[in-house]
Amino acid sequence: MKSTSSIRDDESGFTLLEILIAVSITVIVLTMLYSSFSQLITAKRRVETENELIQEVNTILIKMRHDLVNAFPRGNINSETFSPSAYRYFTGRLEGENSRIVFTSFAKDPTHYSTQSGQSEISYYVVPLRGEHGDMFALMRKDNYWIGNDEAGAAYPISERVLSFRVNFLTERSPGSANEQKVWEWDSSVMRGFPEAVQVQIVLVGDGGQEETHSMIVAIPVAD
Amino acid sequence: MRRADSERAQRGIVLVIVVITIAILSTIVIDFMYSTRVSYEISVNSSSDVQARHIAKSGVRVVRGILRKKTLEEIPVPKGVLAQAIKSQNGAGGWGLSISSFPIGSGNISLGVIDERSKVNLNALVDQKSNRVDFQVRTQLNELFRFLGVETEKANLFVASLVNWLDGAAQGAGNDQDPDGAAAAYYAELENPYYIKDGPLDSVEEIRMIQGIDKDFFFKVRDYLTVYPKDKQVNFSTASKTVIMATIKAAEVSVTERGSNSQELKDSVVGRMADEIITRRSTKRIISARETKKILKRVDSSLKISSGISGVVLKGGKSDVYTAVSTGIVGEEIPVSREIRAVIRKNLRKKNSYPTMVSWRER
Repeated sequence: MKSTSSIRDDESGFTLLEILIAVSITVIVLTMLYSSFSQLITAKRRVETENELIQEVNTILIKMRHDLVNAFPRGNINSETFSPSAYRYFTGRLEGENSRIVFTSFAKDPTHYSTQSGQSEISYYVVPLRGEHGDMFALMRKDNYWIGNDEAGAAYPISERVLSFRVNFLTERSPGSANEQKVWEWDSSVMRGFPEAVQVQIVLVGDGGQEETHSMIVAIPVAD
Repeated sequence: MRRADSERAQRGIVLVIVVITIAILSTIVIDFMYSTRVSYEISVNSSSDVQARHIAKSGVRVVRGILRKKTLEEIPVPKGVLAQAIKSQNGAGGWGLSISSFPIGSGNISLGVIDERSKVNLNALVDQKSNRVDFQVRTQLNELFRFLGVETEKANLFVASLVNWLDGAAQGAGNDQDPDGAAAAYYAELENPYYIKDGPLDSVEEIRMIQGIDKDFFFKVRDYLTVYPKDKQVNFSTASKTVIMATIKAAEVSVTERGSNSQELKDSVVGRMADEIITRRSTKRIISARETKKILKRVDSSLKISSGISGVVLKGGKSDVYTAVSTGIVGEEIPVSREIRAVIRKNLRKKNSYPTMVSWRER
């Protein structure tokens, strides 16, 4: 009997006031937690998409840098002076708001078993996307070892959320004034060689609509 | 009794809860540590990559700076520790400069300089202006391939196809002038077709595209061939024995006529001549065309190829085209390495002029 009464003592409940205070404290704490948590999650999501964009730009720029530093003057490698009959080995021009560059490069080492030379003509250009992303472009890279035949070669998109892709050429022998060193068009057979450096600017659009602008300057070693 | 039972049962639950919590927490911690480790390694890797590339680039700059003042043949061989690291870099056994694994910054650098004039120039086979075949170079190539153990038929087919690959549609001798070699139509009918070049080669690897050369042939000969010098003259200060022998053989024939080979020097005699030249190099670093003639006369006093030698041997014995091979290596556990092969041309007429960059290949 004694034990039953002691159990009842233990099971005596809380007062209404106690419960009210506990509930309101819980509500306050939960609200605070939720708001800071949801902020954290949005921030995390934003950073993640931004990171993804940066990764994508990085991959593109690394690839482009590799192609550009390995550029070579096709048909002109063993002559000391520029030969005007040489192949047009480096060209760049604006097509609308965006650029197209085409150049010959030792972009990849040939495998031992193939009958390839490792030389190919690399092109970078954009094509407009269809559908809901009408204002955006796909950035294409074309690798053509059948140099001279524009029909040949494999082209594939290296990014499909490009807003703008622009390339300009830096040189000491600018056609304009001494200060004017930016050139938007380049033709190796007119400029008699490579530009000293190439500046690439690329704008990507993330899923949330944010824009990521990146630019790099690649010095062309052979122009030095 | 009942109370004691329920207390014991509750204690058990606490233990289970603690164990489960610890298990969950440690899984989370391990996962976190793993993902941190992975992203750390990725970032270390990419920073090592950049470092290795810059180390390799600096190597090329060093070579360029040295070559501004001196030619490769004039560079004194360093004494002491470095001297042991210097050995022949050229796979073909010619004279070159090589420093293996020298510490620099946070990594190591390996540096080599090869004289492109220590090899046979493929581009000299057809004159780019007159479009005519140079029969000295043709003999030089045929003899080189023979010394290297390539079957005569294979070598002939390749050399004939090379003539067609190089010759242009210009005036003088016509395009694709050698009937024995593959012409434009051959390459157009391949499974993966391509155009014939009709112009100078841009890299030695390009000959893999020409008919008549297979994998074994290519690997046998590639270290002995070049495309960079503007003429056919071989530098006897740096060339290997095989190249020297092929070049002396080439001096016997006339530039313009096929089959003008009247003297027919024996291989053993030519071999002795090449040995004499290489022996002379240990005391005299620069072997000019004049020095060459003196040495050849000593071996065979009746020799009458003086004018031929003037045509195929580099007059001053100092080269103007070099390849610098620079490798940067960073990291101990997972080393990252970057190799740059840069071809550098020095203007021998302009003193102290900065050498120009001819070709740049980064891997």
